[in-house]
Amino acid sequence: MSVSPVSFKAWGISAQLMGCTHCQSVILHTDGKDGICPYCLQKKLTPIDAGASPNPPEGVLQHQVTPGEISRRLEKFQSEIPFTPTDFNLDGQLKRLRKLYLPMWWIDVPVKSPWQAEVGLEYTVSSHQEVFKNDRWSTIEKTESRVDWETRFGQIDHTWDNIPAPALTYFRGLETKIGEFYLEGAQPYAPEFLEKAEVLLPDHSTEDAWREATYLVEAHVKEQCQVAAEGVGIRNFQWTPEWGERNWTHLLLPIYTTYYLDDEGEVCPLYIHGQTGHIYGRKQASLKRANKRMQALISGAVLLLILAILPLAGVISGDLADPLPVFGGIGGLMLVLIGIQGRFRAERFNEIQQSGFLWSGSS
Amino acid sequence: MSFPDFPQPAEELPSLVDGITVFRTAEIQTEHRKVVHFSCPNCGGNKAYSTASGALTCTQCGYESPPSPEGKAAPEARPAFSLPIAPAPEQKHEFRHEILEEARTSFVPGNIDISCQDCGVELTIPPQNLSHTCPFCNSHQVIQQKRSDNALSPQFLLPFAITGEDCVAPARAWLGSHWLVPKDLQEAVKLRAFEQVYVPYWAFDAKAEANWKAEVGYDETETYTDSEGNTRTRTTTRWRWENGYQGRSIDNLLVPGSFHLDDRLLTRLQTFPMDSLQPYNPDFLAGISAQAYEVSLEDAWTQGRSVIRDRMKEACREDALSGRADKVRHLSLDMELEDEAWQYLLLPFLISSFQYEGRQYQMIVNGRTGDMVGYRPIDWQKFNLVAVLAFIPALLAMLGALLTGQPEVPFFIGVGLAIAAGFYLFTLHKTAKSIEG
Repeated sequence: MSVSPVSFKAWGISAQLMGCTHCQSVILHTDGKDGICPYCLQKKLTPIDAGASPNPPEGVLQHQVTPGEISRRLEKFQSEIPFTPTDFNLDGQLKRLRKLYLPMWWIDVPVKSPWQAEVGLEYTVSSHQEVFKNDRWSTIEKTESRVDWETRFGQIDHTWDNIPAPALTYFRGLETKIGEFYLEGAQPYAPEFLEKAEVLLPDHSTEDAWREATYLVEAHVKEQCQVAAEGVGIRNFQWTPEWGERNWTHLLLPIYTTYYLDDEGEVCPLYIHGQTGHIYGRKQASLKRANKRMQALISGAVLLLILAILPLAGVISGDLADPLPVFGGIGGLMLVLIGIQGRFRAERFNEIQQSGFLWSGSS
Repeated sequence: MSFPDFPQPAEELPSLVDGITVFRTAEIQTEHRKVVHFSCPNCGGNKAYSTASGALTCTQCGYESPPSPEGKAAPEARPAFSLPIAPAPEQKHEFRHEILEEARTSFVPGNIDISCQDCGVELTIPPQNLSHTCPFCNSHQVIQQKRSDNALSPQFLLPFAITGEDCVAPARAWLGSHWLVPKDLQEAVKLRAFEQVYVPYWAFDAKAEANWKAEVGYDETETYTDSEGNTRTRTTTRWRWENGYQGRSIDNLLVPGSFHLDDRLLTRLQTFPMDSLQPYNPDFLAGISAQAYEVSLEDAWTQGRSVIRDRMKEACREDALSGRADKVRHLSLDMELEDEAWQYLLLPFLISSFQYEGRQYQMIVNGRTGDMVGYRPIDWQKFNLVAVLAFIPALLAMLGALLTGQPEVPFFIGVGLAIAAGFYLFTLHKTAKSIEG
């Protein structure tokens, strides 16, 4: 599929807006040649009408993991799969590696509210230990830290900038698996960041995101009130916020994606945290490889048994006293068991992955 | 900025975050009065606290008014939300470092200049005086030193239940209540009027938990046959190391905060109904002497801990001796004090003294219970006479030994009686010394 890039003037780039018919993602595609969705990695991208050009992001967190580090982590991930599918080879996965940015809402919001809470204030007291030994008393003076909870109250009149809220419906699920992003160190958006990278556009409405963001704001405000009151803890926080006009922008979070194909040729995506290198994705053992090995071992076992039967006739007639046939029989049996065990192990591994541990990571 | 919904009055605190103000409920500030005067609203005369009525009473017209609520805890301010506020702090204070530091550094002794509101005379009074009576117009004043933390001002006091007049008859009776005092003591001495004085005290609380270890001895009696074939018994002690635990809750351990009264006498008068303590209020001090503490908090607590040490050591020794044990040696203990707390109190005493043969004797009465202690002169001639009489039986026995032909038995009886007389006189002398002080 070939599409013509469109100029996204505000973004400072030429790109094509694409929609994935598989995962419903909307992607700002800077390299629309392969038609593969950078998120679900299925070849299901179709161009969609750009309509009103989406606003460019305010900030970007850059990809920080080196190719060497990605390679090391992929290797470790691979080592945890028994009978790795033949498509899983490091070179292949590195060739398929794509830089992707996930959007995160950044909200600036002015708040006015009275607040009241119990703030934990630390203080020190002295206490004593008295020791009587050898008919003499001695005193050890000790210092203990304690916390006194006192009521504090006041007024909040502040604009909080860059409150993060998910801009993708599946973001929290992904974040749980891949790990949190460190939002410090975001840089102002520049078109250069999108070179050889693709961008997912928000699919989470601002209304829904705000619902989640209010909890974050409250937690942040609570923490700030604790800091303002020089407390070491805060509890029973109460406020009645009056929100001002919100300003919505977004921040781009870095991830890498790649994939491998399982026995049936199905895509198994791998997601790599762009800051930590943590990988998460489905670990799929190759039953084909397990079967092949089992067949090879059983064949070997049959051959061993045949070779053992011939001298066995001699043993029965009493002409030969060679124990070789017995060892041959036992060896053959063991080869059968090893083959079957490998097959069962691969099957069991896939069952576990599909039931409880469908997606698992590797650090 | 006003806070119509917030507790009033509010005190603004420094905030570390821009855009967030921080307040706390301020204590209801009554105007700090360095000197509290007590003028009668009826006739302008002087008012004083009356022990009999428990009210401020005018010494001229008899007008009575109950003690004002000043000094009592401020009523709790209304919170903005129906928030479960932390429980009110206990009335006792912890040994916070900042208070200890203040106790060490901020008490700068120096005389206080006051101006009598009634007669206008300028007076200088010692810093340890909490109350004062103008020598020119007889008006009463209470001096309130401003401290950055009220903890170091008196928090509670026990109002008087006994007046000076109440003490006169019991004091006379008490003077003649021991046979060793001079016969004419009751008639000869001129008792000074009993003066009501509030004496500063530190009251301490703590939980003492001690782990002890000691060698505990068990006496065993055994019979044996000596080299001559006689059956004898002997006692041997079997020692073994043991350990144990003793815990005690120390409540209201009182340590005087004044150097001026005799410690030994005060110790015998420290039974006070502590549940009758009242929040400090200058009205209770009108016309009554009151002293501020001179013994620092830390010094007083060192004394208090010394008392706890002795108590706990005794408790551990008793614990070691419980059961069949007979002896204890090499006792060691490791005691943790927890929840150490203190309170600054004023306790009521009545003090008088008298002179006898050129020497001053002090008498102190517990202002709540009326218990009386003090020193009295001893009639040493009486004591000497008793000493002589005590040895007469011994002398007679010795004489008997000389006069009779068989001296051994009366002699030994004489020696025994002499030893008994000596022991009796030693004890009597100790008692006489403690009576005389």
